[in-house]
Amino acid sequence: ARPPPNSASTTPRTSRRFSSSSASSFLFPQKKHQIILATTLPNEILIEICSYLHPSDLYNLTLVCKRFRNLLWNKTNESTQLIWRTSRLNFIPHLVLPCPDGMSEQKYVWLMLLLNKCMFCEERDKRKLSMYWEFKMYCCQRCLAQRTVR
Amino acid sequence: MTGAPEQRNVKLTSSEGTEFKVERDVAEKSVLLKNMLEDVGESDMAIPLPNVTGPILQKVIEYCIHHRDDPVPAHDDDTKKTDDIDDWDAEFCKVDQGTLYELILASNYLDIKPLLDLTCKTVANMIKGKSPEEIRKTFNIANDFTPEEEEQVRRENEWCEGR
Repeated sequence: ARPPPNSASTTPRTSRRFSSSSASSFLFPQKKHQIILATTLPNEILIEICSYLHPSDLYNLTLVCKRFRNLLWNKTNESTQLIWRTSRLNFIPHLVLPCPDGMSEQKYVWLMLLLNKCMFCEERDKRKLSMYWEFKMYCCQRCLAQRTVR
Repeated sequence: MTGAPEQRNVKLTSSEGTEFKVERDVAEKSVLLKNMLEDVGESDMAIPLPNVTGPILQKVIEYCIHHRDDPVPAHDDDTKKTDDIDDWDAEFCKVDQGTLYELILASNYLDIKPLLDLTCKTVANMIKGKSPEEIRKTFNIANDFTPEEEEQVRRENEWCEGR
C-alpha cells in the first residue's frame, strides 16, 4: 500500500515509538540476514581488513577457505598483489625495494621473510645462506653449486 | 561552529522507517551525508538510509556524537597500526560479530572513514597471530577444502607455488 503523499514530510513520527525492541523484532525477525565474514562481506571490505595484517597472517588466511584463497593466492591479479604489497610496506619496512620483475609479491615475501632455511635442503645456518636474485633462489652455497654452472 | 545556537537538526530514516534526529555537525561526520546536505541545502525532509537498520544507525550516531570534535583526518595519515584503539572505541566495538560487520558496511556506505578504520582494525585484531584452524573457529568459517585440496594448498604454501 502506498503511503499518503504527504506522509514523509509532515507526519510527526517519533523515533521512540518505532525503535522500541518489540517493533524492531516484529519488523526484523531474528537473524534474517546474518552477515558472515567469509561469505557475505564484500571483497573491498576484506581488502581493507587485510591492509592491517602482517604477511604471515595473510599466509594463514590463504589456508582458511576457498574464498580467502581465491582472494589472496592469485599471483597476477592486481588487487591481490596490492594487498600483499601494502602489507609488506607496512610491516616489513626494510623490504623497500620493489618486487623483482616477474616475481609475485607472495613469493617475494616468502623468500625474504618466511623462508628460514635453504630452499633445497635443511640448512638453517644464516651464514651459509644467501639470496641469489639472478636465479630467484634462497639457498646454501652447496645447493647453489649443485644447481648452477659456472 | 559546534553548538552554534542556530544549528539545524538533520532527520535520518533507517531501513525500517525509524526516524532519527541528529545535529548537523554530527551528521556531517558522514561524508555521504555532508555532500548530500551541501547539495540539498536547508530542508525538513528526512534523508532515507535504506541500507542501514535502526539499531545500527543508533550505534553509528553514538560514535559520531562521541567523536564530533575530532579533527578531520589528513588524507596521507593512513597509518596501519592496530594497537592505537582508545578505551572508548574498544568498548564501542564490544558487540557480536554480526553487529560489527553491519557497522563496517554502514560506515563504508555512509563514508565515515574513522569508523571504518576502527571496525576493520577490530576484525584484523581478531585474525592476528591465529592459525588457519583458529581463524575458522573464531569466525565460524567452514573448511570447504576437500582433504586432497587441503593437502595441495598446504604443499603450494610450503613452496609458495601455484597460480
